[in-house]
Amino acid sequence: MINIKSYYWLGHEKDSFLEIIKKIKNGDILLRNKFIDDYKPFILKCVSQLVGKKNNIIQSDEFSIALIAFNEAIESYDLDKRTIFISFSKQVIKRRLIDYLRCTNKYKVTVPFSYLYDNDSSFEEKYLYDNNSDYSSEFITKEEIKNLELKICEFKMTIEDLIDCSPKHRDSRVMCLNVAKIIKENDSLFQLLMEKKTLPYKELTEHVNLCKRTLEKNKKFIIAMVFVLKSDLEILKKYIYDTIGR
Amino acid sequence: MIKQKGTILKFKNNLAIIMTTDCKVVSIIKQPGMYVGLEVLFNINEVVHKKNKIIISSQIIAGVAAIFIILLAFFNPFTNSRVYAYVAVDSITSIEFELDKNNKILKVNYFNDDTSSLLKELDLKHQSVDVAIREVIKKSNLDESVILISACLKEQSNDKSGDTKKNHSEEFDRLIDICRSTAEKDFDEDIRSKVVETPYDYKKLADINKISLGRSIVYEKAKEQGIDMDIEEIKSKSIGEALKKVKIDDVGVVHDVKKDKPQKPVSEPERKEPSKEKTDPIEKKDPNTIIEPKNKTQEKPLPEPKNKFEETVVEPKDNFEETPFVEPKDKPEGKPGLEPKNKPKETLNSEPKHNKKPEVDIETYKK
Repeated sequence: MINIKSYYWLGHEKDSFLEIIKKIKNGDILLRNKFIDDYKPFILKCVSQLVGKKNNIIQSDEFSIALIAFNEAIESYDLDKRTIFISFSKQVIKRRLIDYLRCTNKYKVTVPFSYLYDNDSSFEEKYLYDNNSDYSSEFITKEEIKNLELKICEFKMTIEDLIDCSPKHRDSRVMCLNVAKIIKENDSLFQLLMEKKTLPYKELTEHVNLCKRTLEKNKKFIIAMVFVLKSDLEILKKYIYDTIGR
Repeated sequence: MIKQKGTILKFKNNLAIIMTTDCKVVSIIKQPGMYVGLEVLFNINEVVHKKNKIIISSQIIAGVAAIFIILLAFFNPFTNSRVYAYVAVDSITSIEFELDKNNKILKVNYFNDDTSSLLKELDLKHQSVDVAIREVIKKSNLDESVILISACLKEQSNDKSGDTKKNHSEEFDRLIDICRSTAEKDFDEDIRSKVVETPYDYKKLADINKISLGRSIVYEKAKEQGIDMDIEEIKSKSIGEALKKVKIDDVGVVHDVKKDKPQKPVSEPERKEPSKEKTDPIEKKDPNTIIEPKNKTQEKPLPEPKNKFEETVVEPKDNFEETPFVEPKDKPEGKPGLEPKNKPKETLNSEPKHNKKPEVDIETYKK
């Protein structure tokens, strides 16, 4: 706990956060969009603080400038310095907005982007076409995880339960994963599991050299892992097989 | 610092539930941009344990509780700063104090606009009640008048069921003692004072009528005794005048102070002989009061005229000497007491009826 506290006080960004930014920088468009989407309220706040407009900020030029500035902030954020991203991006947005306001005040003329380009290529081609638009895998993963949760729910448990139920020691985890693998590979055991809605302890003890009590204790974790192995969640399956040592 | 990799399975309450590469299921704080199915790298320190949450929350609760206990110990709002009793001082003016258990004044209520301006100059808050009463009497420059000090205990919600006597705790008795001793020691000799303990009901009525506790008692008693008194009259008159008409002895516990002086024994004689002595001062001071007593004198003397006359002739020689000659003159002239002389004779109220009336009656009958 002390570690966690000092970690907060140092004012550093967390590793998981830095990892996300790193992925975005490496070209994960889906993650970038999601990231910017999550930060929209913050960007709106920055704009309204500077511009003071209250109506239709979302459709204003200032908001667009701020979005571009935020995107720029992601690009130029230095992962090694581990400074607070929010304050950094706020500064970038403010500067870009001030620049924009100065320009518009100077000329008092705004020209739509469409004036600057040829009419040859269509708008869709230019802006809506995404080279990395292979979102299908992310979508499939999401759906698979949803299915997994639904199946687990049939056994009157949730994914949150697994936080407490997953064994702490690596050995016992490996043991449970082995049991799950046996059930997955043995159809009769799996059928029994689906019928009884609980582990077939009696039958399992014939296959594994474990007492009923141990199985009961880790019942939830084993069932969840059986369904992970039965699903198409390749990443999770890989985790399991790597842990068992295939 | 150990880093771990995992896939996000679910979000719940600002937490992301992650299955790590070694098949542990853990939760970390949600970061912007995270979505279900995303593979993330995180530091082991980021993992949120349920135990941590409980420890943190229990620490916070303990801290808050400690602060509350300290605040309670210092300020103790439940005992001292709560209104415990009311004391009203009525003379020509009216003033009411709200007291705490230590008999210190928490709040001062004023009722009469012109007089309150005088009294408002006094800073009575947080002073003890005896000092305050002394200050008020000094400030209002009373000479030769009646002061009614009334006290009541605030009704506690628990004791609502009933007996007001039970509420008379030791503190309240001490308060009454303080009021009495202040009245005895510190007032001028000309001032007659009464200290009255009353039930809380009178305070409630006083609040409704927006008058002081003392005046409320007088008003309610006047109603009970069938004396026609307007509330405005009660508000504007001095308490002395009102007390001459209204008996308040049955209100609660009444303490008369300074009975030894000739003028003071106002209340006691009232009980024994309905007011020989009292009526004298009243008559002289108030011409207004004549009207009511007149009726009574006319009605009452008729049934028992002569016996009483014989009995009482001996005592009130003084009265006889003062009044007898005047009376016959007045009555022929007319009843309405325009002149002061007429009134005293008539207003001798019901009591003097016995002594003097025989003469009056006989004469009037003859005529």
